[in-house]
Amino acid sequence: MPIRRGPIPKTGGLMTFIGAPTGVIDELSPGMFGVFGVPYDVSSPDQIGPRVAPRAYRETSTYFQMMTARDATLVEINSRLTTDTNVVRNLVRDLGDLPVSHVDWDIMSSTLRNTAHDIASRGATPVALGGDHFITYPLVQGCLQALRESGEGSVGYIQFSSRLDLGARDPVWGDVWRGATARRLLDSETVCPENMVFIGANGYVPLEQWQMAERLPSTVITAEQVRTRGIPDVISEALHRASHNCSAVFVGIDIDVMDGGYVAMTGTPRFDGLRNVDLFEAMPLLARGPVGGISLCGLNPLIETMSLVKTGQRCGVEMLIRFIDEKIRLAGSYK
Amino acid sequence: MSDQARQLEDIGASTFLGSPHVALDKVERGMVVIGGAPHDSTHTSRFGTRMGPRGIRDGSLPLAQRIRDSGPDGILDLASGDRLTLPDSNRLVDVGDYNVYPSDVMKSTEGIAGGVEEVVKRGGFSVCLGGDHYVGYPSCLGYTRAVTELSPRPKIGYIHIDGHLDFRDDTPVWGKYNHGTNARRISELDLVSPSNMVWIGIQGWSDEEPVSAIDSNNGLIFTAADVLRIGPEEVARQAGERASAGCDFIYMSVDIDFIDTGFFPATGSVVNDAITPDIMAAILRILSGYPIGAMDFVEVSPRIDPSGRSMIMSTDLLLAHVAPRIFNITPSP
Repeated sequence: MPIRRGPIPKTGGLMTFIGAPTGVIDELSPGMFGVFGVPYDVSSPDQIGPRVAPRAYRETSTYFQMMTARDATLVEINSRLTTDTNVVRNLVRDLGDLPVSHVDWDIMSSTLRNTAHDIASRGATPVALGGDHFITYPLVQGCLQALRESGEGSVGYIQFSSRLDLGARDPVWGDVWRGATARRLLDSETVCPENMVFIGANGYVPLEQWQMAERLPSTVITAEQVRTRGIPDVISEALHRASHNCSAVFVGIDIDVMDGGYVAMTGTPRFDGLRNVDLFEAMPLLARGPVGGISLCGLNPLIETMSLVKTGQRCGVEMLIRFIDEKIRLAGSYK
Repeated sequence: MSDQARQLEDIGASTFLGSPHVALDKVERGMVVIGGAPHDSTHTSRFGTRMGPRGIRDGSLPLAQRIRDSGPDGILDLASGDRLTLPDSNRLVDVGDYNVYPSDVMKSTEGIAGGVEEVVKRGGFSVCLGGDHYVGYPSCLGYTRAVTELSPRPKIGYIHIDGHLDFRDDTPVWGKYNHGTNARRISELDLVSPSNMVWIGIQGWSDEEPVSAIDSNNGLIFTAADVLRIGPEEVARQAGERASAGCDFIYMSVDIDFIDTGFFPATGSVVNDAITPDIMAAILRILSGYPIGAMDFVEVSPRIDPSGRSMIMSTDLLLAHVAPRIFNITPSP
């Protein structure tokens, strides 16, 4: 209940994702989106900071509070598709931040698995605001568990990252390491290699990881190939391969897949990456496939003066909105 | 000017490009006249654009230094190969900042409009530095008041370069006069022709009503995606043709959040549209060939960009449009 009724400035009020109502998992039902923060960044070997990204996403998402304003119709200016804000408001819940353990991965991974499982079990879509990319590994496990319990099949995985994250273990960080996200999904047999798609790798990657990717029946589409082929073709292939013999696909996005000129707030900026508008174009296309969960990771709002600028968090918020909006449209919820 | 001021960019009065600071009554026909509108009380999110005029002026001083150093040879535009030299009689002046009143929007409106009106009546080309984008309305208002002395019943086109339409009629908190309604208020001005209004660079979502209103006015919208697909030069040409069709003059309003914030960080409203500064410069350069009689350049918020690059960039962007009015230009051989 707001302290006062009536209009408030968009910078005012309780800070939730796009101003959506707060809620708990038990309130979720099929077609809904459970947005939750994972302020965890201990698996990152470089600068600490992604732990404050969920808060940064929410703060910046105040620009998009019109998405959950009451009784408004919005127009996406390129497509001229309309969005009924009452429907969005009914279908999105901000579940708050998970209880994070920075010192005990067993507890952390269990929390992540259970959260993804509980949301997916209710037919809703888990949307995780990371946090390190490594949180994606237990989230995919949780989704798979929910699928199996409901008698459905396997889960595919599409990863947007400037790297492959196929490392075995880090000499310092050991097994709990951001660079091993995809490797853990393979080693634990959470995702079959043929259902794993890597999009956006660029620059230098460790030879051992590259050779592994070539050896496996996985699909690697580099940033250069995205530029050559175009997003629609790339996403079409990615969905086809990731969903083959699978009931659902999890999308893991490391924000460093974008060129550092567009999003500098990451510990691993690259300058041969994708454009922000490439990701905006990709999200509704992904929403048209069987995507059952999504994680947005790797943003470090504390880095550089760019933390004032908020390009990364705004970009991430817009990506998620474009995904959610299209999902709702396809479900026929906009009358 | 002291000898030191001739040598060092950080000494002396901070005027745009080190131009003479003059009173309004010293403005002469053909001059480009810089006037600041340090107003941001109608910005709906992150304040700070009140520092815009000062920031843009400071950011122009490194180039002013290079121009002074270049002497009679002038400076070379490496993109075009053109040589720019200063004319014998100065064509650029800075009148300082117009009167603004943070607690009284209408009083600020009249303060800015009155200054621009005076500049235009004297034959100057007004460049109003914001400030949040609301200042585009009083700047255009002053322009329309002045041009009635230049033409009996002029018709004015409008070009709006921005990441946003700014065409809401009203907002629940800020009312009818803020940086999201400025273009709507301009469309209601007597001399402005709504069907000659053109938007360049719009991205993201808008309320439905403003889009419908522009469509029913037969206005023209180029989205940021259109600019990337069609190309900045062609978009600028089509925009110039539409805005000038049947019109005597064009007013141009430039919000720097047309540019992707990754490349121009100093602004309150963050935009991710992959529009780079060179795209904006190309558009502004092409539009200098159309009958634009006054402009504003708004939403620069210097404190958000401690690196200062956005303010330095602002000079390049402004010169992309006004250089032909300030310099003698010798085309590339």
